[in-house]
Amino acid sequence: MPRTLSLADEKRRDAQIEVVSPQKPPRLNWVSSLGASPVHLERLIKATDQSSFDALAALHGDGLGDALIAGDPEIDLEQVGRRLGHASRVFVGQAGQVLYSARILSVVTAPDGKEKSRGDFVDVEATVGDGVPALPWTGRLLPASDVVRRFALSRKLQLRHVNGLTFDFLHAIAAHLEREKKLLLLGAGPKGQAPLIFQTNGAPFRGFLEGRTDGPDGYRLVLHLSNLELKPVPSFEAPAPKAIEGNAS
Amino acid sequence: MARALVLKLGDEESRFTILKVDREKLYGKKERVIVDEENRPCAPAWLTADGSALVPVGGTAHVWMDERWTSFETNERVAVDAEGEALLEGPSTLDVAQDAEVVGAERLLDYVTSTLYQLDVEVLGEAAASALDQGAVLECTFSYRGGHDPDRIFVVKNDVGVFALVGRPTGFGMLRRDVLPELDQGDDELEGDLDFSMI
Repeated sequence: MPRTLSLADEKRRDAQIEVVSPQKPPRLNWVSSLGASPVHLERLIKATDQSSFDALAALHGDGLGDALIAGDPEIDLEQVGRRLGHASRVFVGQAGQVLYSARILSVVTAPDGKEKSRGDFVDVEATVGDGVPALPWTGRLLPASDVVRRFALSRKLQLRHVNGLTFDFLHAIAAHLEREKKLLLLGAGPKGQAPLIFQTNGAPFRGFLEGRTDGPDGYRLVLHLSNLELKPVPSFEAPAPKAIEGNAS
Repeated sequence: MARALVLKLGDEESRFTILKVDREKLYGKKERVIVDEENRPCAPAWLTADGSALVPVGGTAHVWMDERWTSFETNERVAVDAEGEALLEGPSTLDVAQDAEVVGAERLLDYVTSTLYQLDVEVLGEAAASALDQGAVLECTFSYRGGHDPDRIFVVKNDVGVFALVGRPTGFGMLRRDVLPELDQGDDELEGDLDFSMI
């Protein structure tokens, strides 16, 4: 089922339209160089919790070294080489037990690696999509040359009409932007200032709408999305090594 | 010595050291941490479908296999197209001069950026410097590790530095109006009395 979003034009008329992502390149087919038989990638088990260092140390104690020399206790012959298959993702406590209830925290870390905050994780709802108010016309137009030199446009969505009326609606928007030779800054919320989030807990983006036309019967409207600026990476001083206390000579 | 992006514009070569830029380096990160009832962090693991094995992180391996369960090393496989013809694998473009061209900034609108690099200029040719100062973009082929389908890389300059964006074309085309077929006016089935029984 195609994704949809609601968009308003400069006359504050809104319409629900489809959005599509760029087509992915075709997947490569791999064959063996020896006999041209098709090959595929498999995910196999190579170790379990019973063959970890901590588990073996708990089992053998000081005799772990001798056990490793005498045999292969680190290899679980019943499990190694099996396909992982449709395994369930679980979380394991400090004692190695599978948790049946757990608490999810959100930890925010600064660019220098220091923890800034820690608290209960709260879902962040989508700001774009079904059941969400239309993205308003902000009127903020930016030259394309400025946008591409300030932001990395890492996702693109093409806006598509669903019927004749939405064709005219989108064509008019594309023609307007083409005349202005600029991109429209798009955001969520009543003033268009909130980031665009396409699914619950999805990555937030800033949006820039670009329009082109090919006469009255063709248009191309692309929503360029960015969450990364073209800025130099800050450098942080490594913490000074602690002085080692020793006897005064 | 760090690997470099080398562009050739005309007869001049320009050389840049690359540093990958991502959100974590610029803005930090926000991550979900699972803790138990005593607020001690927990580790993720996989539980097999039959419940017989608990596989910790690092406890799996990816292996190339054929249908006979024979394993192959990575360098023992070949990529082929739909007709079974082997695809050519090109080398990495780092440290190798790539022919560049000057394009308009709008060219980036037709590409999806997959990676952003901050560039430290080692050598900058006059023509390249002039183009970047005027707001133009330098474009050339890019492949970090080598492979079958290289990307394009675009070098831009703004107020705070020189950057390179690696991208692939979006492939978006013009959308056309779907015109409904015209009615044939000559054969009007509704001529005469309208049949409200509609049977």
